[in-house]
Amino acid sequence: MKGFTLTLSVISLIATILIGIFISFVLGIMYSFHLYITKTLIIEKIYSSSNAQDALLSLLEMKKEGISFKQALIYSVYENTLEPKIYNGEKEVVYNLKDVAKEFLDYVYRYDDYWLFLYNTSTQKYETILASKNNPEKLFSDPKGNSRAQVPLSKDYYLVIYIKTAD
Amino acid sequence: MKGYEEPTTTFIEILTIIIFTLFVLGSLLMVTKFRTDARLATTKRIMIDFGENVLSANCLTNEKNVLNETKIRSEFEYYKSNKDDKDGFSCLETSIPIKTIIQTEETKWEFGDAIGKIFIFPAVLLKDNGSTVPAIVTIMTEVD
Repeated sequence: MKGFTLTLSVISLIATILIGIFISFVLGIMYSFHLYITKTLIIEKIYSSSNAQDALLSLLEMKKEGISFKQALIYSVYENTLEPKIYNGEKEVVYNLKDVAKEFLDYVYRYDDYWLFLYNTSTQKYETILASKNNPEKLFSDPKGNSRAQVPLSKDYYLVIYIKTAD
Repeated sequence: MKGYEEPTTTFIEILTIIIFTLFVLGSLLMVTKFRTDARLATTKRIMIDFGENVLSANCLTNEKNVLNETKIRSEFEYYKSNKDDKDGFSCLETSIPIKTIIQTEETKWEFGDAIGKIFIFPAVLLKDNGSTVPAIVTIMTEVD
């Protein structure tokens, strides 16, 4: 009976150790997963992209001769040019999207890289409005450090911005 | 050998209880450590949440992301006479010290008093003459 008690104690000890290791393992996974969700996913992916969203929303409100960037974009899509002609109530204005975007983006992202373009979902083609460097496709091909935002302009067109923050 | 059986059993049982207690304490420590790390991660989150509130505050903006120069000047007068306000805005309230810097190429306004990490928001400033200029809103805070 005493031998049985001893065996039972040893089994109980081993079982406690195994259960402890299992609990530690599960807690370790949960801990890592929670940190990943909290920091990487929520903070870096969702919250940090708010910077790009705010940039796009602000840019849309930039005005030149009484015409906002968002109004000019709609004309741009329908006239199929980056320099649409728009009547502002007094005269016809040639609205240069690139100039207005440059004024805004060069100030806000003076140390960072950016790429602003129109994207057509039906043809899957894009037209660059402005980029901080030549060959932005290559610059933003590496997703590390990129943040992106987009706004729909019409059924097929989106205005998209990519930002790569300087280290 | 039989004489040692009873003390050995007691020893193993005590060892089992000690190991079990260690695992329980270890688990509690891990949970505490996680809470500490999560709190550190929220510094950025607090700055972003506050910044988004600044960008849509009715005492500073016409609409989301469109800052109004007249309203900012008025808020700056409020801040100068209410230095104990932790954020410096009449329409916002926070329990932690936060500094907000609104700047354009020509002008700069500073509200609140805090030193620490920063987060930057792009915005646009509607000037008194109806024109717009790009602006940067910088939020600065230090959360323990």
